[in-house]
Amino acid sequence: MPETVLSIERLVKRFGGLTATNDLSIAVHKGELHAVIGPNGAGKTTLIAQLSGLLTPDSGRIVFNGQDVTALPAHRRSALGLARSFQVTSIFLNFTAEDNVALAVQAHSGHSFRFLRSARSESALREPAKKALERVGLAHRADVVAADLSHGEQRQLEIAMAIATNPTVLLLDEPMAGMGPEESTRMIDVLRGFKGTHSLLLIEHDMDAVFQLADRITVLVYGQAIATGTPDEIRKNPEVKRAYLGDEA
Amino acid sequence: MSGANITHIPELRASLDDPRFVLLVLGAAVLAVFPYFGYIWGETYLVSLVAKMLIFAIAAVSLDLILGYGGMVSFGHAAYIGLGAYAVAVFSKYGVDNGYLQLVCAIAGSALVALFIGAISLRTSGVYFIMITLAFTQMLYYLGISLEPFGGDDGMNTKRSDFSLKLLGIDFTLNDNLFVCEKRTDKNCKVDDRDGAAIYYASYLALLASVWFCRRLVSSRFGMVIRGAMSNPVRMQAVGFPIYRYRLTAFVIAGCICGVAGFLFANHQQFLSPVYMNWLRSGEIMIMGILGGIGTIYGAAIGAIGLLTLEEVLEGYVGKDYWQMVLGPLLVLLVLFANRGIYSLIPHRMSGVPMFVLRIGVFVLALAGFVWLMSKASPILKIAGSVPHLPLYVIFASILVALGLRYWQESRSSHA
Repeated sequence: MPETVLSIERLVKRFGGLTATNDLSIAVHKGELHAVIGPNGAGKTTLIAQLSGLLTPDSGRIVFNGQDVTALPAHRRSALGLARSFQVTSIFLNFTAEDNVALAVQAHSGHSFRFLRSARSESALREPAKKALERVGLAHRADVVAADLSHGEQRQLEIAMAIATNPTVLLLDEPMAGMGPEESTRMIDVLRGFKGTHSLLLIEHDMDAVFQLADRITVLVYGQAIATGTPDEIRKNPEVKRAYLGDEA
Repeated sequence: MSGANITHIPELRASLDDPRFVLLVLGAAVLAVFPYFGYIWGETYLVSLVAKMLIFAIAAVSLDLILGYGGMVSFGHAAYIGLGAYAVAVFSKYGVDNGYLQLVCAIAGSALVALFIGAISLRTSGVYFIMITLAFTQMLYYLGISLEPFGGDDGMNTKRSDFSLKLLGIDFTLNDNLFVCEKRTDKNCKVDDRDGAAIYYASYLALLASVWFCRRLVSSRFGMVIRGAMSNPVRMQAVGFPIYRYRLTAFVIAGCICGVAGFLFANHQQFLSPVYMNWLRSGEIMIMGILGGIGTIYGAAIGAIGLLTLEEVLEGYVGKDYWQMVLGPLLVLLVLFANRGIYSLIPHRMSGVPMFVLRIGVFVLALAGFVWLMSKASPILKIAGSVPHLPLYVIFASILVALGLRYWQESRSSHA
């Protein structure tokens, strides 16, 4: 039995009459890449908002590393090691790539009321930042201002900021959104590199990427998990076919 | 005002290969020996004028700290000049001339008021922030006007702060006879205001200290947080920074530094006036920053010296009563085309120096030509200037238009 690092237990979130998350349970195992797919409106974004602490579920629990984090605010969760990347690129455009990552590291290393020592020469911030950039394949662009990076590189930077704090679980909200095929391929390589060392929960539209990468997949329809399994199992699952292709399939 | 579209200016390198570094060091060296020559040549007024420039450079540098690195467009920065000046005046009125005590009170008073204004105004952003900081400063201005014991509207004379320092029987007081002569009766002594040198050097050292401190601050962990909060506040909070606290701290630090400028200004003028806190002064400080280059610290100091020089030249050559009528439109033009300011024009490599010298030369010539033209046009200006308060209204309107245009430019480029 593999160890579970993030467990979503009977989660429910309603918006008025709409049940966006309906009695949903998912277990993310240590070191696996677990993908969540589903048609539009299936409740993927609501799920990640609840996991990162931006929305509070109506009932159910979120257990992270054995600790109930259901009621913790966003910054406390990220301090515990539950990091997320954003769907819309959200980096500091006038900072260099390395400054961006160093700032993310800084957020997790105590308070910042330190006034005189240069943050740019602090190896406690710069070394982890350099390592994170290396892992996403941006080491050669470390000194480039983020605004001058390509869209794909900005998404890679976004991932670097998320992993720089050494999270145990990484929530990835559509990292491939808006990417061309070449950029997607590079991103798939980057994400593949995290398998084994990090546990990842990937929410993604790009089916090719999901079936190439995922160890297990959960299919979400109307807030409910209709199937969970390996890519092969999911591919053969009749319910999944019906949800995606309609009844006639 | 996000900095998304701002072209990146490479960091200053402490090397003889960086013309900016060379220029700054040269500038600091010239300013260090300036009073010596000023007094030798009997140009007491010039020494006093440059001291005033240095004082406003401190104010502009402190504003740049929050404006250029924190995106806090404080339109009430003159409040702290006033507070620093009142600290001198209030004590001197009751016979307490101890400069150390006055300085501590100037800083503490500025800190308290900045904490109060900042705590409220930092809950807003954009135009609201500008308006609230402006409103608070105008409140202080009218408070000053109504304070009859301290001269009310008319202001009052103040005595210079006493900074005598005697330790173990040795007098360490900054000696104003430093350069020129021992006694005022010395017939080679052309200097009638020898206290001027003390004010000058106090301001000079305070400016160096402010620039050094602000530069350290903006590259520290604290600095990275306020810069990040300017660039992308939502993300900063998501990463886990309580940005309000950091921004408020920066606001208070800037207020304290500007309070020191106010303290020095009261000593320089030997006079207190509530006008020090007028919004016009706040606008002037902001224009200094924009001219020199926002978000560079050095630029703000350059801009302060530049703007006050321009004012002085216009006043001297165009005419005492109506020079503002020329300055106003000129400021609108300068701010409109200032882009990233004078500092950003200085090249980063020695190879760019000839082009830079050429451009500055053309600019100075054009400006000189303009001033000459205006001095010829003085009869016309004189008629316009004889309309009551017209020059003042022109400068009012110009500063508003200049800052408004700038704000519009910035907000448009950050949405693009």
